[in-house]
Amino acid sequence: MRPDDDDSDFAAAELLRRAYGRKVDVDTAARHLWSIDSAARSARRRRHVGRRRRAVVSVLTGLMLVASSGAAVGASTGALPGDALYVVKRGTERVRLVLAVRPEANAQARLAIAHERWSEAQRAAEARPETVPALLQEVLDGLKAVEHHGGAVAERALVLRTQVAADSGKIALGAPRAKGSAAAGSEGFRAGQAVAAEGSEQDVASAAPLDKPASERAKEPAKEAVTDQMAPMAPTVAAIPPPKNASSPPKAASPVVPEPPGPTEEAGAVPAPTAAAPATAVPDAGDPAAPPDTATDQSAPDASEVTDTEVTDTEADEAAEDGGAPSAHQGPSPHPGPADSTPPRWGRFGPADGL
Amino acid sequence: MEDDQEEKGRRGRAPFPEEVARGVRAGDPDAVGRVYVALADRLLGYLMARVPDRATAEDLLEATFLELLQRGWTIRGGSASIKVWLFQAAHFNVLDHLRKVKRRAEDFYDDPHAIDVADARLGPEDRAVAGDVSRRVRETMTKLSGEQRQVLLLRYVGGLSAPETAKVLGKTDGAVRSLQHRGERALARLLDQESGQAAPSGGDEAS
Repeated sequence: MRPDDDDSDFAAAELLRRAYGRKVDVDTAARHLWSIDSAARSARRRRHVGRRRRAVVSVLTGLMLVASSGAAVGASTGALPGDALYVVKRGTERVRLVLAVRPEANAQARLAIAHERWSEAQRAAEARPETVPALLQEVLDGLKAVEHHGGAVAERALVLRTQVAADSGKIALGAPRAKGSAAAGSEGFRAGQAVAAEGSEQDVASAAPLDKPASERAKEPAKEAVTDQMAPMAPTVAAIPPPKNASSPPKAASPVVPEPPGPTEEAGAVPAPTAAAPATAVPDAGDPAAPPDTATDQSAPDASEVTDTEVTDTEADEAAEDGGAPSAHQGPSPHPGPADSTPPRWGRFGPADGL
Repeated sequence: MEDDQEEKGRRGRAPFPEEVARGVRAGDPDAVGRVYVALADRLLGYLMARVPDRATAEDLLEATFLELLQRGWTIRGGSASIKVWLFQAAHFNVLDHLRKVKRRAEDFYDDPHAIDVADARLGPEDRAVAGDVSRRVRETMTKLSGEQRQVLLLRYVGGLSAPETAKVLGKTDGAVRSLQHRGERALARLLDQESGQAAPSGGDEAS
């Protein structure tokens, strides 16, 4: 493995590689990839729902560390959100997905994952109903991601979509009566309707350009208006726009503030689970210990969170997680390089000669 | 395809496709995951050379990639810029960590054996690595100046080209080449000295 210069010392290279070279083990990679995915979903939710303090589920970080012993990968496929092995399961999925580089393989992997979320949703309906809406949303996201791919994958996706649309109402409404679960049920119902409705709509949103700065994206009108049309069909939830804010992709930014509660009792309960469901849904709640705060850190715009870092004692005691969509880019450095990317936190260490 | 990417990474050119770079700038976790798959080994090697405790190095690795997810949108340029950015971020995370654990803010722990002792989860591959020659190499590296060590680690463990190394360290290309050559000569000389004597020579400070 040689750097591309003529003046490399190959002998030194070999010695140093042997002395220091390391490989990341699969457990660790799975954990990290899962953490990255979690953070991205948290950031998307925060952008849409606005500044909100969430109860941080540090136990998830703890579970990650516990579960990464490596032995359990094969045994995790039955796991549900909240199970210790669920983290391992999701992490392994992430590894497989990331490694599926070719578009066909990637689409197949995504569809398989959507199937798995659906399976989990069905099983969770009984045991962990509060996790169902988030799972259904993930099914929806997965289907959308593969449907434009076309071919056999899109056909199988349509089959799944039809199945979900048919059965999600049953899942949602069949959830046991418990505090918040009735509203969770109606959320699941609406999510299921959204699944059906979106299947009949050309999803132009997925073609939206991603390279605008996030602040511009946030100004784009919500493209998933179809669910607004679906809402009036269920009288008890007519007044409330569905919680698509909770986890829609960043490009289809929805209004930041949830609508005020409507006149019905049902309506009053809904905004709470909108906030609670993502918080209690274990896969989404894990905010990994964010990087240590620095003096010249960008301002965390509308989404600062205190992350519980008790599990990893090497991290900062308190870390501010960047929401990822600052409207005013302070930049990490007062000395941005001439034609170069903004290097991380140069400002603390003085201007760089070479930049 | 992965092999192609690995090969290109070795040559200091695109470690991953440009579409992945675009995804990173858009904050796409899948794109960040692709970058992880491409570069995590290199970064871990570099981090462990600076912070011998494996668990800490892995945490810093995670933190670095989370930063990439959150701040990737600020990176101008393609895959090469992202690679440079990652090593810069790793470098700063190491410094932050060292400061926090209140050791001397040096590039390297004084104890060259720490990398063996602290690496509690040595697998068979790692045990082979922790062989005699490698241990001596690590010991000898502690005798180089901090900057020389940095350059050699970035070049040969991180797999960065000389210009990329210069960007990470904030130095000119010429400064980096000079440090690299001096470091290599010192390393070779010290290793020769060691193998030519019954006992390793003490503290022969490199120029």
